[in-house]
Amino acid sequence: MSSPYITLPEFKYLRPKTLDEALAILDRYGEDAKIMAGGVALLSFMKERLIEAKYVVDIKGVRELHYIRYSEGDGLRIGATVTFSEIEDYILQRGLVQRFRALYQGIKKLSDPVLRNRSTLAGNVVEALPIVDGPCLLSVFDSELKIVSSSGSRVVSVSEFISDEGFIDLKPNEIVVEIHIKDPPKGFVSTFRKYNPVTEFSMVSVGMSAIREGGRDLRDVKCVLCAATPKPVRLRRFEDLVSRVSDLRSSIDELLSSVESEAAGFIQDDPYASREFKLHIAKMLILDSLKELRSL
Amino acid sequence: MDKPHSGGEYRYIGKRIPPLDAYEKVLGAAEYTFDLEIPGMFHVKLVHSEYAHARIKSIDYSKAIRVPGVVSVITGRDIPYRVGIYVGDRDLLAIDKVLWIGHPVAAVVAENLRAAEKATELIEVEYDPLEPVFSVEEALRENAPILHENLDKYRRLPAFNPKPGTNIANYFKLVKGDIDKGFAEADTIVRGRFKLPYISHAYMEPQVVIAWYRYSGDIEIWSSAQSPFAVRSLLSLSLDIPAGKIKVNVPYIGGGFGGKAGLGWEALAAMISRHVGFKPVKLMLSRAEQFKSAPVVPGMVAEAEMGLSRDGRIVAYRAKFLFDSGAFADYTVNISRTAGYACAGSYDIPNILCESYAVYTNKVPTTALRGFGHPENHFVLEHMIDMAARELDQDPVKIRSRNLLKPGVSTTGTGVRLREDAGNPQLVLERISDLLDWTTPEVDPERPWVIRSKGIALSVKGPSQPPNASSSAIVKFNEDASVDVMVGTSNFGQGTVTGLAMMVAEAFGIPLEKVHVKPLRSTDASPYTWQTVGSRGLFTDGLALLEAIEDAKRKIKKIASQALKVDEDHLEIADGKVYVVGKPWISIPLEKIVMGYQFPDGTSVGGPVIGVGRHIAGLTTYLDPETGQGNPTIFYTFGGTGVEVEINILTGEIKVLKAVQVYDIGKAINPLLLEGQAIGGFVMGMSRALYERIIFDEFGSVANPNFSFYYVARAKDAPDNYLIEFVETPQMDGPLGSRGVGENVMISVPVAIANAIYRATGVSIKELPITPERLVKAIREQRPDLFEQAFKAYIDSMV
Repeated sequence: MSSPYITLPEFKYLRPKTLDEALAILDRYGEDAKIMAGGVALLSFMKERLIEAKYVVDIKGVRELHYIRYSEGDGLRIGATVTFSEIEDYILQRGLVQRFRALYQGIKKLSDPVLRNRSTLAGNVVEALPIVDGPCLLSVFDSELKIVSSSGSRVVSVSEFISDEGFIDLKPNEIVVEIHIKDPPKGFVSTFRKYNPVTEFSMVSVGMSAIREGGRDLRDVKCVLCAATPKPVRLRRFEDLVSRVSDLRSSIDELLSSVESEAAGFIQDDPYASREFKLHIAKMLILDSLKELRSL
Repeated sequence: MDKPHSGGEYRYIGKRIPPLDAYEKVLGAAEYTFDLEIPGMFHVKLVHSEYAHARIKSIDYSKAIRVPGVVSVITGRDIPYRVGIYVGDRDLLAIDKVLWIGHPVAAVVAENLRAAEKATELIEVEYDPLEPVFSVEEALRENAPILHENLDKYRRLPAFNPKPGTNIANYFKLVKGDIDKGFAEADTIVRGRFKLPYISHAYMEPQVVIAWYRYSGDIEIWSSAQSPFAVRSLLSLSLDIPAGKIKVNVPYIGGGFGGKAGLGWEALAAMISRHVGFKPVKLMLSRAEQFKSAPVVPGMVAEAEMGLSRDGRIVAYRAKFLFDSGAFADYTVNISRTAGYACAGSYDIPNILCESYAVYTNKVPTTALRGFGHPENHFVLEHMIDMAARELDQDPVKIRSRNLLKPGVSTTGTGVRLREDAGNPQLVLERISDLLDWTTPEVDPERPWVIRSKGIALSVKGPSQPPNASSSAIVKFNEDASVDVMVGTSNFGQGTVTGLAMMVAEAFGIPLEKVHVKPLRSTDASPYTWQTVGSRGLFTDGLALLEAIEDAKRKIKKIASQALKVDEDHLEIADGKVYVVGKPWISIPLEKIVMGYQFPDGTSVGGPVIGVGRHIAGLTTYLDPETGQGNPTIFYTFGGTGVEVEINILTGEIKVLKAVQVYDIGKAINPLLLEGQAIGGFVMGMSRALYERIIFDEFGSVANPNFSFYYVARAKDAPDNYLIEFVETPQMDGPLGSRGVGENVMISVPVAIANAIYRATGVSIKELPITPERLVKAIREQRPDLFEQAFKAYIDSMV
């Protein structure tokens, strides 16, 4: 995003029709080949000369990867080439907004409609930088990635998949083919908050889920802090505390100081906001999320 | 122009007519310089300095030259020219010394762009670092490193006053009355220190130029430039080539906002074209280069104090503006001058001392932006007035009303009596406060941590141009009695050319479809205009066009007089015909006249009709070098902004709910396009208020050279509710009574927003942009009670 280049470097564009064909290309060219789903990230990074690819393997033509399915008990299964707009439409049309509320809210806040028409959830997760929302949204739920290569397949959770800022558990011969978001249990509520009034990207995001069984109390709270952190971070002490809270008002200070102590280590200054302010916003978003989950 | 005859109503003037080029642009069919290719042309790519201040020891391009497709590598020593509009301080490529990170040090020329880009990676430059200066304060220190040792040798216009041996590119002083006496008389004094960041013009088409230096010595240029004639004249002056041997073409322009005024990269491209054997070359910047290597918008720090009497009269105003011009100040010297002479805004202040500097620093060079000098000096002045109002416990609208300039009565800051027909600033202020529904701030009952508040600011703006700036226009009839309108003023979204076409259609009573204004401007084919800047286009080129229309009418009547055997004085033109006054049934259609009239026997009179007109500023003067007194401008447009904002005390988020814009434009030629300008200006000003800033790292390098991190307002950020109104107090010597307004519509927006925040919270923010962090920090420092109260209300809402 700061290069003098106008052109893309030279590369060969390949458009396989089947998954086997795509995997064979990866086997042949190894690190020289890069999978392109939407291309939003890959082509930008190539223009910046941050990623080199002699072969760009566009899997949009692989029909078997273009599906989105929901079934009760199993959850959502999303193929690698499904765009954010397609997920948004599917959730809305199948009446799944309440069930996957954080995901739906997150997609609606993701960049703009033009980009959502192109960009894929799988590509977003593979990018794995703090600036993208996909990993954060998946972390709110119990989600897994299905990864295949010519020698077999494996399933990993999102938190295992992303080891650190932009570093992922994916070998050059592998493709992320499916995202599985497991069906949430009864009483599950979720929400996603994003704070981005300074740059195009989020400064701080918070995903939160819980189980509600009548009344306003929450149990099994899950709180994920993103964007300000190198990868989605679960605030586990806060989660424990808040799941046990009976009187919210008297516990606010304790809750906020647990957020502070858990989150502080992950958050850094950058040219757009100080660490102190990001922490302040993280607390506000967490309070806001709690408020919303209690009122749903 | 006379009103037409049928019912005395205008047919086109005052009507809401979409821009003539709307379809071409919306369909993506418009061709910009970026799209142009000349067979066999080479591509140029620049190599940029990695040091903010250093001597160049060596440039090794032996590897680069071996890249297949690379034709040549050129360095500053090959083309040691200095260029610039008001001060010739710019080099084409760094000569011996680099002055900022991003300073072009070499240019690679190749058969294709990719080869040129690749070769730039292989050029090794060795530097001998010098101490850099990154702020105006540092640059003004006694022993500060000097950027331009030869400042006294640079060509400059007489209006500018550099201080050789220092980093001061220009110093300007406005003196009116007796400042010490004024402050001695004041009952109360308010003071403030203000700071504005470097920003980007953020136009859509980055700078791009194609140049072809021919064997004959003629140069042809295609450029995304606002002012082809300024490019020609500056090329001629800087390169010592007769103007007549230079042709500058400007097709559609992808935005300019002042950033493409003056001279761009044309001189560099022309000299490269010669260097590589008289071949056409194209230089286009990437967005990142546009941020790092092309001129951006200067930052400013200012200090001001205002003295008032108890009843709210401003009796003294002192301000000092320090513009951070970066490494070159060729245009920015005029920004500092303008900020100085216009520092008193719309107010009648008896005692003024305004000093203004343009100061060199080792950062990206800067240039003009829409309204330059005015967004800056108004940000200071209009906020000081709100501070004074609070201090004196007076209403911000009333205190403004009390101090406004009175046309025909008051003298301006530069000591000129404000002309009687300059507009109606009182009515402007009244309309803003009415439309805004000027009420006190209120807390949102549902969300008591959110406050809604209204703010107001006025502005006045005239063109900042040399006293002899001139324009010309031609109306040329075609066989079908359609008209080619030829003007020099360029079209990059302002709507001027649509307004000019409407004037021609009105004058001859022909359909607008029969008036053609081609997108291309060329110094060969278009009549001269000084520049397309300063909100001057419709005014100056409009006056030239009206004269051309009259000239054509005279010529038509002369031919028709011979045809109809009626005295010219008894003929009139309307509805596409020439007819006899009082006997409208005796007429000839224009088609039969405009190429010459042919009698039934085959004999003929007259000939093709071409009308010619011109305009020159006339009564404007140089300003006195000691006091800044004189007549700087051909008109003043008064106006202002009202805003309603919603402020979240806890998160610092600011949402603009409502925008009110009122301007006294004399006559609304095309209200639709005026509203477009007003909305565009509002959003641009809002973006500057809340988001835009170029961030420099500790080494002086631009940290956010892209639109992901240099945030510009998106559609979602803009308010939904606009109330826009135009007051029409005619200016007697304006075209149909009108005045320019293209820049004024953004000038008062940032300060109106700052004033709304101030009114709601009592927290004064004197630095842009007003980021959420800045706002929350200021509230917690200045009004901890407000923050605590909001937080408590928030917790209450949770349980």
